[in-house]
Amino acid sequence: MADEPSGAVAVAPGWPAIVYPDGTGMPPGIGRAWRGAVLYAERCADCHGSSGQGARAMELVGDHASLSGEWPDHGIAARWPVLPPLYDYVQRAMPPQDPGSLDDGQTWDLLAHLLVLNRLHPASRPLDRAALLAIRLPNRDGFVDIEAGDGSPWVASPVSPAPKGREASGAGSRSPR
Amino acid sequence: MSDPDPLRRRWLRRGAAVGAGLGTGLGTGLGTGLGMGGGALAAPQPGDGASGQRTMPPSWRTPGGEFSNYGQPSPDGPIRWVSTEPGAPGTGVAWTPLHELEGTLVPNGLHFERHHAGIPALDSQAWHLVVEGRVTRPSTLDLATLLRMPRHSRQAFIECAGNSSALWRPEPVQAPVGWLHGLVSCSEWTGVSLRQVLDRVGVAASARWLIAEGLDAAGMTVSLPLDSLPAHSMIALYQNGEPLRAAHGFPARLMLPGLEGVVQVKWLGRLTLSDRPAMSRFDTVAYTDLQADGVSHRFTRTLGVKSLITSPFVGQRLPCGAQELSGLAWSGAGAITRVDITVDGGRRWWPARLDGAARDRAFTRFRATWPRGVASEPAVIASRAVDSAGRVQPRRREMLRRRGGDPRYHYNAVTALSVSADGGVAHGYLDE
Repeated sequence: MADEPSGAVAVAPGWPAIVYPDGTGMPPGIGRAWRGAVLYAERCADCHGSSGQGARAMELVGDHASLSGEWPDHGIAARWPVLPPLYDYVQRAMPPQDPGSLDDGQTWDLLAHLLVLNRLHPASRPLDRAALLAIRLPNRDGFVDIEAGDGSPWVASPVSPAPKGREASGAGSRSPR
Repeated sequence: MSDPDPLRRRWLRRGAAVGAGLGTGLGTGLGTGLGMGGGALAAPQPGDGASGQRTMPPSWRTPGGEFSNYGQPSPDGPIRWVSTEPGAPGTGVAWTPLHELEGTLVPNGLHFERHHAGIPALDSQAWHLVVEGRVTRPSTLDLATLLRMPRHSRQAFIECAGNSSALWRPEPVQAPVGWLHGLVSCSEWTGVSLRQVLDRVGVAASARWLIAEGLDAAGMTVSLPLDSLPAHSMIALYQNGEPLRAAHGFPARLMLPGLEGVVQVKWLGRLTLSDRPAMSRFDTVAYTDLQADGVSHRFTRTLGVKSLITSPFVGQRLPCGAQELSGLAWSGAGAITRVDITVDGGRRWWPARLDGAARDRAFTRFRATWPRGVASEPAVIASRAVDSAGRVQPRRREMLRRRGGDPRYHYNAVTALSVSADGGVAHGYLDE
């Protein structure tokens, strides 16, 4: 039974690697916030507001603290527990009129700009993979996993899934080829 | 010459419904579905035959319409309302007109829709499902392969996690039930057991999560803990007997009975077995439940127990006398075992009749006769469901206390209607 680490798992042709919270699957790159700002003004500001305050689409800059209180201020800092999946989402789905159009370099630039807007990264420094992974989001621990085993973020249930399935496959009684 | 297509006529007549935002469109919905019918054939009158010509209904005097390759609903049949998000093509919802439907199965053309980036046009010949990650045999399964595997059918509801979100507002929104709660529908789904597909590729012992991705342009990625996948989960290929429509995930979608709509991934493209979740946008930023203390509950996929009165509905004026009440109940954790009705704002409850077999994670229709007198007092009517897991539908006050200032998803509290002395039906909150 193969049981390779997920970082080495092959990906079918035509599909991107899934980007995991630890950065596995995220392409390398160096983001420059000033280039990201230009791109943001052209392609994002119309929906998300000129400085990420939100407009037709959700706000990107908000509270750093937890989201208690009557009018919690949502934004990247408080809504995302980790950053690599944000890279994945922006590249796959944004902007909605032209999804999938941002190349790796543009996506890195945009992330650099968004993290500067959120006071999570200094404008003076380029954003590379190590810098992105070193950012600890302020609301990282503000999530409780309800239906994911023991409730800790990355550990699923100790119950081993699908033993019946593996036996059935081994018997060769199904799966015509 | 008049437009020969009755559906088109109806769409033109109700054109205001299309593209209406949730906030602005609701008011104009009042009265939708009222005064339907009309144009009934005149009954034969005695003496019409005095001229010697026998009296006949007009429709006897001309051959009827032609056959069609695909049938159409009745000309005055219900339609959905569509709310779109400007600037985001194909993003929005279509509401099922629950207040105009009967029974427990929603016709495919009226099943609610929630798309995050429109409906992709997929070629069934080119389509295939990738299954990879922590599996012994990474595979691509084409449609023909799936169609050769054993199938089963099952009724199941799908409810969007954001359904009923207007009820988080401080004032009750006055709109018929479908335009407030219509992001839920129930169908008979037919497909291949998800378990069997996973068996075929061989799930590695280290796999804990199933990550499902859609082929729409929304970046749709959801993470599901393997050990809590519902029984009878399937890769659905048919809905209510016909192949999936494009709007509902053609050619294949996930059908995980009882879980929130976003994980019923339409246009299914890839399943990845993983030792951890992707923590995608759809796992974290959206579809998590912010609580009063500022903590977000994540992976709250199983839907609560819920019921709604669908008749009468907001905007109607009830005649004097006894009134038939009817509604729908469902639960993500089992079958509906009981629905209670109140007509006095929750002081006394009595059991409704459950119409038909209790089905696990599917719609149950309930009915009750309200012996309303001729000189009626104002009344507040509501329904409250209990499921086979012993869960009781909560009251709104209780939900608000738990969920704090900015809840968005998973509203399942008791919904109430006030009926004035003259029979006017309005939406109200039970606890205020």
